[in-house]
Amino acid sequence: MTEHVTTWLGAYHDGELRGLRLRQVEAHLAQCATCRADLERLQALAALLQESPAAENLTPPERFVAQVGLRLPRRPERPAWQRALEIGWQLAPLGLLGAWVFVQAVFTMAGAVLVALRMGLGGELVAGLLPASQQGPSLSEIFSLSGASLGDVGRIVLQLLSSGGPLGWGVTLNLVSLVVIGLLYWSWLASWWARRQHRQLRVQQETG
Amino acid sequence: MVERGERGEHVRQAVLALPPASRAVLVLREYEGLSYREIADTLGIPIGTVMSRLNYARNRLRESLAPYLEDL
Repeated sequence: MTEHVTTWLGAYHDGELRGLRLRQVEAHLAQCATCRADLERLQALAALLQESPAAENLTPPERFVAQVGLRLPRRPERPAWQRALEIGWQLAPLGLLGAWVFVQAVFTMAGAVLVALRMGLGGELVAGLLPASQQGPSLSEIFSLSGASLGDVGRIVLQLLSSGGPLGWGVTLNLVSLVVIGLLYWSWLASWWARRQHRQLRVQQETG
Repeated sequence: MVERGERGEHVRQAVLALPPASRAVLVLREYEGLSYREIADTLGIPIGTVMSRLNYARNRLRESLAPYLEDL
């Protein structure tokens, strides 16, 4: 037998279920006496509430809220692009996290290449990292034409990454990108907080 | 007739004893006949919350009104 559908019985009783969920609940009820008994108790409760004269003087505020709420114009449905923008904004921290992971991956790879170059693996390693279609004659031809070898390329990259201030270009670029990502995240956080404050203020004004 | 009046009073007390948030949802559903969507719009809450508050209110009422439910 499938799992009990206690959570959905109320919605089923109220005629609020549709599609697959409705079929699931109906199929389960057909074979489960416990859930059928639960449903009967729900129906009995509804009957008891309906026949009770107490309904006439129950909690006027809720009736008032309902009557006013239903007469007010509905908030217009926002266009799809606005909803997409909103979802994008909500997912911005994930994007920043992805950017951070990407930056770290790139610099880790660059570090590994640097170590390899320092160990003298040089041009062979660089050539090995390239796809087969770009290896061999074409690459060698380019560097032989310019009078440089793949080992020279390695030295140039090494010098470039090692220069650029006391930390070297690699570390400096890494730090700069981390600072940019950090700043973007803090801006997002500040904007989220401001929106939250604004929404709270509006709710207070509406209910106040 | 007296018994019916007494039962009505018990029902009223049981409903009034519910937490305001659950009571509001129950009243709008059972006495005003609003759909879940209408309740959600009226109270400014998600439909899932409407459902959970309604389940909570009904479970509480089933406990407090158990003797009357057995008679029905």
